[in-house]
Amino acid sequence: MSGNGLKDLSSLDRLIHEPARLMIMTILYAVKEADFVYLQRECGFTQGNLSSHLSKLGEGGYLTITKTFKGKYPLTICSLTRKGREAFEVYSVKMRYVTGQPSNNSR
Amino acid sequence: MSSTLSPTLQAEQRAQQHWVEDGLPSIITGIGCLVWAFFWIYLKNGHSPFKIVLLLSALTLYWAFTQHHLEIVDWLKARLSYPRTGYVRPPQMPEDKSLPLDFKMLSMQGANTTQPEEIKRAHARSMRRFLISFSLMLVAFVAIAYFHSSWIHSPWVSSAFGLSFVAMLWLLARIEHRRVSWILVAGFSLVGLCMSVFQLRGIVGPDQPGYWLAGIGFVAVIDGAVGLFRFLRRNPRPSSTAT
Repeated sequence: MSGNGLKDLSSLDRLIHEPARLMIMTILYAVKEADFVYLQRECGFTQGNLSSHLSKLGEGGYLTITKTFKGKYPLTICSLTRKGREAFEVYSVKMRYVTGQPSNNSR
Repeated sequence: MSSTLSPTLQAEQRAQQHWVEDGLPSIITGIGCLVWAFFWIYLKNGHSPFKIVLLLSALTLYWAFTQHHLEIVDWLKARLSYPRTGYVRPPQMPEDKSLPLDFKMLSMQGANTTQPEEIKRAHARSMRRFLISFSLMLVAFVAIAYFHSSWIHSPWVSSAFGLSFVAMLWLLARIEHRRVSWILVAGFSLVGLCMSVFQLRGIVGPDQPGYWLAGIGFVAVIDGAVGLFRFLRRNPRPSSTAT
């Protein structure tokens, strides 16, 4: 944090800040990887909506999307990249700063 | 907020729950216990060729279940669960060995293999609590075994052990913010009660651990089968699996 108070809000990552993408990032941050169907069920998005948000995050270099098979079942697996994890952590720290919460996470 | 957990930890717990909710891990664990119990009770005496063949088959099955537990569960999930509710790999799970090499290489590009700090801390806390509870359970088990062999020659000690096992299971589940299936609670208590009755009638004798394993395995299989039935009924297979 630069300590500029309100001006720091303008430095929030807009790619993550959108609620739908924040949901996707939160889920992917908590797991190793997840497929399209799982994300769709967890977030409650339509196929097109989820696909569009994944594409945007992918274009930003925050996640990798890989198509593969498990048996006969086609999987579209998404996982956060190092850049994506770091961006999410920075975003979390900034949001805690904004809301005045301590940055340690306790259950 | 309905929960004190952060959304990240909630997402992690949901991923863990997603892994066990179809009952397949329970079924496979239960079958492993049953195979081991079969080996213990039936095959340890006598050396007829038939028994040797059975012994080798049981050992092979047991080895397969212990060494390839995750792969077997994953293989079954790929046919039953993933097409219905999707695939997720919780952070504690090891690398997926079933995926082809080129896919693994693709996944590693730019991926961070280190655990996120928040989840690391939560795991450390969770592991500490688990170890304390597990140690308590071990102490209770040793104490019961000691009392049983020294001065309490009562068959009802098995019932007490069954109940204490259920209590520890419930405690562990509470610590991990999970729910214990009523089948496990009722089943393990019933196994303890059955062991007491078996002892009263002189059925079990020195094969007691084998019968315990059989009981636990049976309860796990029933719990898994009920879980699988519910899962399949709740999540019908979609007409098109293409994503």
